[in-house]
Amino acid sequence: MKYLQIMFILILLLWTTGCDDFLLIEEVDTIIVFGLDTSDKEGAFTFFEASPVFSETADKKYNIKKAVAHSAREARNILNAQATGHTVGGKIQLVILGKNLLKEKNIYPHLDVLFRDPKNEINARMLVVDGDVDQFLGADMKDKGRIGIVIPDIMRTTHRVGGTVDTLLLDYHRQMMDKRVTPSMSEMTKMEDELIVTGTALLNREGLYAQSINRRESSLLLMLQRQTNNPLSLDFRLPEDFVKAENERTEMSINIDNINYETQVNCDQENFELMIDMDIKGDITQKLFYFDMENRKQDFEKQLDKQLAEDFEKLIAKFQQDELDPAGFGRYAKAYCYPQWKKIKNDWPKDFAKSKVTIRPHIEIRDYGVQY
Amino acid sequence: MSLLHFFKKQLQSLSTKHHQDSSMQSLSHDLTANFKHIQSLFSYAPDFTYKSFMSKSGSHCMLLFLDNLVDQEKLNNQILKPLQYDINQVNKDAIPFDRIEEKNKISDLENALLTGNSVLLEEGQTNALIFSTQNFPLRSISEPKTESTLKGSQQGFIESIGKNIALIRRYLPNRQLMIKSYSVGKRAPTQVALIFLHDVANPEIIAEVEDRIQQIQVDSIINTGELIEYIEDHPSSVFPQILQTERPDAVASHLLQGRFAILVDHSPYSLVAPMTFFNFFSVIDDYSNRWMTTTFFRFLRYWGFFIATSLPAFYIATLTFSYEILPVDLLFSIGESRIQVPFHPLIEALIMEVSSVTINIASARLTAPVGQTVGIVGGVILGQAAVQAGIVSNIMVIVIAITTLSTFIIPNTDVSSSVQIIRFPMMIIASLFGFTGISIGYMIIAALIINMESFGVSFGNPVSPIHLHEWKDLMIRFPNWKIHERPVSADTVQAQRDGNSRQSGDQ
Repeated sequence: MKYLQIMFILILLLWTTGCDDFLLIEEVDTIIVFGLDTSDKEGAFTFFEASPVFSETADKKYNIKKAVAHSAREARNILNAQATGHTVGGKIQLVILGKNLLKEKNIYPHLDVLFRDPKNEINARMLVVDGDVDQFLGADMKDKGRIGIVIPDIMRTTHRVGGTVDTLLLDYHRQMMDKRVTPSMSEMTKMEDELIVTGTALLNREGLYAQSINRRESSLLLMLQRQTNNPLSLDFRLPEDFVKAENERTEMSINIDNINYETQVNCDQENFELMIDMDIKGDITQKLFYFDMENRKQDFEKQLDKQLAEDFEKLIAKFQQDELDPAGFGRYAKAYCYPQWKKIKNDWPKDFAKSKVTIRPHIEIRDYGVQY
Repeated sequence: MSLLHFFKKQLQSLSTKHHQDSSMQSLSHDLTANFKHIQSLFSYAPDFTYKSFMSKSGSHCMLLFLDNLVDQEKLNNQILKPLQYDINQVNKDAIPFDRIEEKNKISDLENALLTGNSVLLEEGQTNALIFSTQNFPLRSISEPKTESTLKGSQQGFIESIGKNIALIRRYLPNRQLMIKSYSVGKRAPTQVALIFLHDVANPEIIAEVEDRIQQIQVDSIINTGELIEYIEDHPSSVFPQILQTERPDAVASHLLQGRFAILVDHSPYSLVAPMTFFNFFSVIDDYSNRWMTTTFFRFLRYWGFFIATSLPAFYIATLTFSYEILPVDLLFSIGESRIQVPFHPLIEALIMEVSSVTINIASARLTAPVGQTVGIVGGVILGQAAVQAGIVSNIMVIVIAITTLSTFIIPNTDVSSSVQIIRFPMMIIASLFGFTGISIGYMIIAALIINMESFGVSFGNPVSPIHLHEWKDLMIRFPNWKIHERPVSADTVQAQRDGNSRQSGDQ
């Protein structure tokens, strides 16, 4: 009997708690895209939230809401007033930031709400939009699909072929905290209703937008970041006199799929000196001209090395001009020259601007095809 | 409680009365009186038959038997014919029949007649001869229905304990194979046989079982399942602790591992104990398949147990608490499908789960052709229609389909029925607490298993307590020649099972 009594009490207790954070998947407003842009109001931002619409009677498959507010939480209250269900942030796929906003403000403290709740998704991709976020989100998606899936898909695909970096919300957090790098994230724009990745946006130490690099430069950046997990396609245009082209075709492309790095660091000089040797293994995927590969393969490789080295030099000069270190050269500085690093650690990007970084690529072409 | 005692007393007094009624008298010298007496006991038995004849020696004899329970041919050729024409004395040693007993109590004669023997009364004799002439209606040995196998033997137990013992002995022609026979039941005594290997099985366990069987006070045991309820350790547990099998080869294999088996007359099932939870996930075919195949199958079975207990619970927990774990594309497709369903996921799951179990139970009792139709109508058409009608989401149909299939990947029907029951509290707890609830549910299941004992052996063996060398036959089945010990879970007195059958190097 006692056993039964205890069972009865337990069963009653079972129903007292629980049901607390209960929700129904189809009734909540699941935010897929979270956006931030400038607003006309002083000190306020425009917040965007895109969530899927499951109802069959609705024409559009997603719903974009916007609100002008001083903080994300305040915006959430305004947006909740428009939402059909309780708004949840556990499935955010994309965080969109307006370029104009990034030029004015460091956005990192305003994303606090995304990092705070453990249920929130930190694997969301970071995106800078060249132009108006409102217009960007308003692109015609009829021939594409759900906005929260299509844009991350475009970004992922572009990253796979080396067109841009792949920065998750967590990466952004780390890049902001890490004194050895400066943040970088994908950049997109809207071109006549088509969404296109233009390259990579680089942020400075203060979290403000500094400059953009194009897709080819992004490939080089990925090579410097050692993030070339997939075959990375690089296009070259060789000098006409080298190719001795009968017509004007001098383009060629290679697929890089393996790079070995060797680093030499010199801490003794006044400024930090770094030399990276890259042993690059690649295959020719396109070559629009004749070249005697069988006999002059080494000349060919040397020519590519030379051009690639020049490209790296230009890119690093570009970084240094704006005191940016998206490739994370600061890691070498900290690892190899710790005593010096301790003095400059809070000001690394400035010091980097004065450093000397040399990249020496050594391309080895393994497969040049049967023709030519 | 006092009410219960009252009933118990009433029952006891009733049964003693019954015993006083039945005659404890002995036979007298008067044949007619004896016959009259016995006939009065069988007054409402139309199958009670007798044959009155003069033996060759000239004495008046009567042969009594119950029609259809005896072998007529034996009766005519081996008893009547010799007595009437060939032999001069009517006694045990002269009659050319293999099993004859001599009894003088009327009650013994009555029992003998009821169990298919025939009784010979002779004028002037106070002893009657009892001939074992039983010939019950029996079916022939056929393939086990609930435990079909691809590679094992195709013989299953039948409804005769004698034949069943013979089937086991064919696998184990060994002097140490002990069979202890008991008679259980007051009104209709049923023969129960306890079988074990004398030098392997633990005598303490055997004594315990013996004791439990002898304590049973019941009218009759019709089936092995009834016997289980009287002898098992935890009658209120969801998990079976005793294996019921209709395969003689499985019983032989378990006997060799040091367990004991119990056969009940009239029942085509044998009991095997002490079993552990993990024993229920292996079948006899495991040892005839290649060990890698078996290992894969075993993993699937444990996985099936996991899925069958908690997949609907996972569905509920995901949809009501932890939507974050869904990939975003799946979230969209579930959302689109769920928006048409007006019910809470728990109600949705209960609707489908109850219908699915209904289909299972319904088709189990139907003949094969009808059963198939029920399966198709129930599974395919009902599921599809329910989705279109907006009662359940299509993901739910998939969940239920996978769950039902996983239930049947568990080889033992008792365990898979237990799993079907466990599923419901899991679903409820998941709807209240989400994944925390599921974890609690699994902890409760684990606690139940660890806490149980079957005939003095821990039910969680060999995982709790850990016996690592026995894991050779747990999930990964090592090749047979690698398993040298009998399982600890059988608590044997002789642990070594075999020697080194594959010696390396040249001899």
